[in-house]
Amino acid sequence: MEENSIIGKAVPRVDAVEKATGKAIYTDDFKLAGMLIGKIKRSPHPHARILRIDTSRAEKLPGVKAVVTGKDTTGRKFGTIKAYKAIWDELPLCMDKVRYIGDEVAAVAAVDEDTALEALDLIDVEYEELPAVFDPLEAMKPGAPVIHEGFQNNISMQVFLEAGDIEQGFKDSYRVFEDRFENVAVAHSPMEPHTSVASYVNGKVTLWSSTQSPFVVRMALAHQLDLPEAQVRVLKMTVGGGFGGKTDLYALDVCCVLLSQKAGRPVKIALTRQEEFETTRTRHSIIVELKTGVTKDGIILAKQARNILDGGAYTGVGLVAPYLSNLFLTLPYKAPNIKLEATRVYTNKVRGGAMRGYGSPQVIFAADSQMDIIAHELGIDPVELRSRNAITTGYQTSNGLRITSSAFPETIEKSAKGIAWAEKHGKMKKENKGMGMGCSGYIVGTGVAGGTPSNYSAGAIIKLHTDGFATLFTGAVDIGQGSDTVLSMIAAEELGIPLSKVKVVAGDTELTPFDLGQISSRTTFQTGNAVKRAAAEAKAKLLKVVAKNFEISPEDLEAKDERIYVKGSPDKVMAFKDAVFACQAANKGLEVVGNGAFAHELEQTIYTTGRGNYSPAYTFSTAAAEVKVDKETGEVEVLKIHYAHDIGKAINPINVKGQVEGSVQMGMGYALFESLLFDKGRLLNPTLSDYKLALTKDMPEIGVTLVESDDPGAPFGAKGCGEGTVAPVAPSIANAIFDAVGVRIKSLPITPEKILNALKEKEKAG
Amino acid sequence: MIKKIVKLKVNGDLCEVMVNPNMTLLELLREGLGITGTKRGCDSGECGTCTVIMNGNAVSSCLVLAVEAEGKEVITIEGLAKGDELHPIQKAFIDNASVQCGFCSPGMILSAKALLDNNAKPTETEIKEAIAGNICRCGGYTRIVEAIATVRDQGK
Repeated sequence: MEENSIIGKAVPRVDAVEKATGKAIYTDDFKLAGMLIGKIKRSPHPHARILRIDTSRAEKLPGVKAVVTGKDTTGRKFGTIKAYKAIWDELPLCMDKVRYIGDEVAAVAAVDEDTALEALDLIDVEYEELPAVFDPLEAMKPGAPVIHEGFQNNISMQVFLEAGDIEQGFKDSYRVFEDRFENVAVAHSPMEPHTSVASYVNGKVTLWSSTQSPFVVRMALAHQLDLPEAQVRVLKMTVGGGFGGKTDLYALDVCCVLLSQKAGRPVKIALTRQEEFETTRTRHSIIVELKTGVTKDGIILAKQARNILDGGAYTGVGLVAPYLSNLFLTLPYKAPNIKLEATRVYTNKVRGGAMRGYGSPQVIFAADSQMDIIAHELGIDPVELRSRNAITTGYQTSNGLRITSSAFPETIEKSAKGIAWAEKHGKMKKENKGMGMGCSGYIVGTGVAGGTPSNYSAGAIIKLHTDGFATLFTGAVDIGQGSDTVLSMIAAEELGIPLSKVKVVAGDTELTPFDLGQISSRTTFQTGNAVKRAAAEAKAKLLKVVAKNFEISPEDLEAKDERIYVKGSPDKVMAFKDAVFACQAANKGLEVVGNGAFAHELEQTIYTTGRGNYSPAYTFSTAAAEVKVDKETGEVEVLKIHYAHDIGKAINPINVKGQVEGSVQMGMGYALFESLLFDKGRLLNPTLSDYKLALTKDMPEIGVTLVESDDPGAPFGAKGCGEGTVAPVAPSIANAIFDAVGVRIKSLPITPEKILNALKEKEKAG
Repeated sequence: MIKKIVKLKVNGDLCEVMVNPNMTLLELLREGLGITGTKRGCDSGECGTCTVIMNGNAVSSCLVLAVEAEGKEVITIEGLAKGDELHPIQKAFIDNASVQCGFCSPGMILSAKALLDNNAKPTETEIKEAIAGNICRCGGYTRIVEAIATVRDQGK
């Protein structure tokens, strides 16, 4: 294979300098002339009817320029996926009742923050409290408080996924294992809180936002405001982390627009850290009841699961969560007979949404803990058991996922080697040390089902300039994962120009082609393919003109090192910029533009039937952890994690490693300390000192091996990274704890208390 | 509220800013002076994104009242590079891929600078302690620690 000039090189990010010098402009850094500060009045009750809202005192406060309530809205409900409009359940400002502590009831815009806050206190809301329900199992019972009319048993979404013959599978099994796993809601905690600035001028809305999906926001915002999408421009600024929590349209976005319209001035709303915790999104907590049948050799024959998702008060992108919680149980191991059921249930709490690894960290914790149980019970080495069941290239899962490439077996092997499994596993018990493994599979390059073609595709446009530069227009959003860099590298490689000569315009619904945004680890694969095609189209236009000049065929030409030359005759050459000039000249000044798109079509019914190929490719990951447990205090120290990821091809290896290391940080927090604690719907720890994130000193030694499986459909073979890489970390740690001290904790986070209690129980049992 | 004029040095420039008594140094910088490299992440001293150097020490500017900054010398992220010439710590952060979403980077870089200014040869533990108050949610911290260690080893 010919060597790439840029792809595969560890180059600094294209946005690193502006970020390291403080020059990057995040939404909160941005100011328009006359801009007002907006604040939101929120419900203090988990469930209540709104009897009366009196805003008159707030309106009279000097400095207050606008106050809005539900009456000022269109009253149209919104959601995130257009094909499921029938179950959209959200209003920008509550009109009839509030459904969780933090629900939006009114908003104000004032000349400064102090005045806006004072105005909030002057808004008088009278409520009639209603019985509330906080536990999904309670919420499903007959007679439970009804959170949304028309949703029986508070079920927001229920999905079944069946393939093969589950009964026969269990019948043929040598052993059947049944376990129940639990986890808790956790918070994305991006360092940048959600922020929006809106300007409403003459019927046209512009929203500058910290969103990770400008096009999703535009769709829902235009619908809610009852405006044509072309009258709504949504653009992202530099985004300070998203992790899935910045996907939906937020009430704050709509409030911002309504306030701007009423006040006739631009308005900014920046959430406080407390609001960020209390009112954005969480990772769904999921109860996973898992039943797995295996042969004597540990080969999985049947897998049955019942997943109960705590949905919180609304749906949004949470609609996909039940389907995904099933889907990720069909990876990364072969399972010919499956019967999976997932139910998302409304409760009176902040809602669950998309969060890094969407649906997989919860179920992979369950499934890969159970793999360890199976290995232990059957006396098979956990590494060997995983290898025996590993999905390999060319496999089609029973529910229809087509695995175009899989380096999963290699990731198992490399992570085991990286942590010295063969030498050390099971031999460190004296020091209360142990080793564990966790594995997962993930989707890359998919979109959402149904709706317009753009929903399952991404576009890209590349414009070439006569000074040898190119401008890349993409709807993708760099939220810190590095997509601006990766997409620029793809464009530069295809065009044969240096990375420094590709400039990106991104995430602006008015200027850039459609892109679903930063979800599903889709960007490198889907948008990357679109960029590659756009660059190829622009290049083809150049080659055609250059070929004519040299009187040869375009196939005999190559673009590299800012030159276009005849293959085999490097002296026959034209500079890239001269070729752009010649191309424009030959076409009466027409600019050289390439247009590209990539689609992965999905069955609209996939979220309910579970059948079909969800993604054009799949990635696989393995984490191996070494831990030390203090038997006196129950504290766990993670000593080392060796992580191997099937990246397809690393476009920028240093970037990929950063993603994997970040996944270890987040996965470790999920395993050991992150937990949103509620008391009757009230969040008890909405601060960064009470909600524990991993800090520098918590981090283990991290080793990363990137395995390149070179996917045939991916741009330069590159699949993706970032989301699914979180999932294997928690089970690897849980399994290592078992290896170290012999206790199996089936609920996250694995707190010292849980370990001590389990050790006590174990001692009692002798 | 009775406003007060605060005189301080920011990145070497003498500034006079009219402030409310409840205004923080963070607000003075971002709103009073309009320099926004110092980030607002929690307003309660828990995240570290608003870290600046005041009289040689790294502080959370959201916990310092603007009036307390009277007569002080404050360095923000904007004060590190000389034109296009980056500070060695900034360069190391970029080269080691220590910058991801970038929201923690200014505070992280300034915590590192305060450390290296006061202790040219910190141990790895001392590096970790110096940035213990700066949260990074994107990465695994390892690249940040490595970047700081690189600058230490360059002896700059």
